[in-house]
Amino acid sequence: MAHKPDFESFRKSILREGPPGPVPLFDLFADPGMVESVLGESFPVNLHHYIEEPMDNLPGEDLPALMQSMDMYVRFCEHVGYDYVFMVTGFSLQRSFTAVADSAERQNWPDGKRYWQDEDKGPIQNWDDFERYPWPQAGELNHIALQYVGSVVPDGMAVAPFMYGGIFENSTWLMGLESFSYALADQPDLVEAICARVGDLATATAAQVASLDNVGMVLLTDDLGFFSGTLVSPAVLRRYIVPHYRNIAKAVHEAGKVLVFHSCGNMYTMMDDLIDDVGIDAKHSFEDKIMPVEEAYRRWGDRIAVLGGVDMDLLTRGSEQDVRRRTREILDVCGSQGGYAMGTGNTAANYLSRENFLAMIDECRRWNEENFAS
Amino acid sequence: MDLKALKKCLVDGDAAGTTAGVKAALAEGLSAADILGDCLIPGMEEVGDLFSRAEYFVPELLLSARAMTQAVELLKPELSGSGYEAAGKVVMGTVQGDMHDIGKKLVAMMLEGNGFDVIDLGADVPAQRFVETARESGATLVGLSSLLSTTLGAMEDTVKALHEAGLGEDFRVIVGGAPVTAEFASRIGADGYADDASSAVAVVKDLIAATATNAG
Repeated sequence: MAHKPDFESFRKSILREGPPGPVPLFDLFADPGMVESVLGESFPVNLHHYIEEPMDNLPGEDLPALMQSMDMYVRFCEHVGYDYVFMVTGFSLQRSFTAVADSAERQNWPDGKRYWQDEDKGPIQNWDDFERYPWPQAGELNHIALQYVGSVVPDGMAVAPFMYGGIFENSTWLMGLESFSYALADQPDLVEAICARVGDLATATAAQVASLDNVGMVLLTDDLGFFSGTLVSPAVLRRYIVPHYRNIAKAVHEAGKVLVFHSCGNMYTMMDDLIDDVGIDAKHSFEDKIMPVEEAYRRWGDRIAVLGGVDMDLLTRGSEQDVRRRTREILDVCGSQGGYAMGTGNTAANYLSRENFLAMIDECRRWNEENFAS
Repeated sequence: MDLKALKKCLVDGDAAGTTAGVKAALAEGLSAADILGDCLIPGMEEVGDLFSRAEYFVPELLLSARAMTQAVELLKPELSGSGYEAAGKVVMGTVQGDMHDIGKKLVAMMLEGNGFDVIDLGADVPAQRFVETARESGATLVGLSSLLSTTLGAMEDTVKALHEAGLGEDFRVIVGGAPVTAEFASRIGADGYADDASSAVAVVKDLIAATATNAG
């Protein structure tokens, strides 16, 4: 039987309100390549321009094709069995990209390239760059994609806005991680100013999107860690970044919405800050090599929801049998008491095996039938 | 010149203090090799230890590496004529199809700071370029980085190409990066695997020491 979207059940399940029920699904977003593959149809436009690049003035002639594209995202989320549609906000900052041929079999963009942040240097290196930078105005942010999706989602389905990068990511992208690192010692006032500007814009974005029709939760994404720790010290994060998280959480919660925090990497020294100080409702993104999601559930599952966790490498290179086994392993530990949603360790990326991705979804459905059959 | 104070400047990432200290030490007649071997390299080893213990993070590594680079520039004129030998020659790069650079760059910086001569080929490097650079430079070790599951195949191909190139009995390859595990490294025929920049230095030192022992 097809899944009937029910965001209210999703919300209650991850927040452990009421008795435990079937485990819902969660992912941060899906790459266009995966959406096309699952639906078996192509986007009518090259979404790269709209997803990864700032959009000041949307050409009117693009609107019909963009609406068709948003419709595809809604159909994808409904088809897979999510209770919400993930959709990008209008907050995006101009920065430096570098492109390389996409090494995945399934491509995201018509030009066959994948775009990566320039890690070395970004557009802001000094105060002159900061002053000249085309900062968007909070009052002029255009959340047209969210507004459109919010107006067309099926009954029971919500919208989950995500920002393209968080406070730490955008600040380091604007300078380049290397320049940002030097600036912490050489120009701390500039670092503070950049983080403050980004943080204020992100907070304004969160407040704006949390009040839009049908928005159910806000996804704050900010990759803080790598394999063995946070990229910068917890002290730096607490000084420059965490205060803005707190403002975002306040804005989201005042609107009565759920706040999910996504970060890749080993950022676990920050978990108490995020739970007790910021007040996140859920944590997403787990890697088996760093900390399997079951361990995260054991450590923090009584205080926040723990989401996803099927390892991206397994979903990319593993067998369908291994994916089904791992999905079941996770559900056996995390699935019975609420506070958990099944999903990938990161995103429904274009480079995942489509069959493995769908096997994970199917195995969760089977597990739910076995454990929560009414 | 108080070498302890110089070492502290380096560990603290104080480039101005480090270069001033190196100039003072040279003016007092200390040899470049002694400043490097007795002070600066131990300083970078301490930086690596602090990183391993999660007391240092990427910015602290970069700041100390920057100070070290500036210090070595001051020492180079004297080192070149002194018979001083680097700890080894290493080629580093991120494999083809992968643009992630910072992790590999940190490894390269830490190796340089520990007395190795490093050729950093950057990101998105074809297998053949690793082979040619290793052959032309006489490097005895190549370090490969990959951050994407989809470029692990390129890593495997590169390891194979390097082993098939006949670069000598002592030639070694190490690998690392987010999706790379010790098991994967072993399966594709790499000689070593490291989790992060600090452990990469230890792995390289161990591999080079082992080949020297075997040769001896």
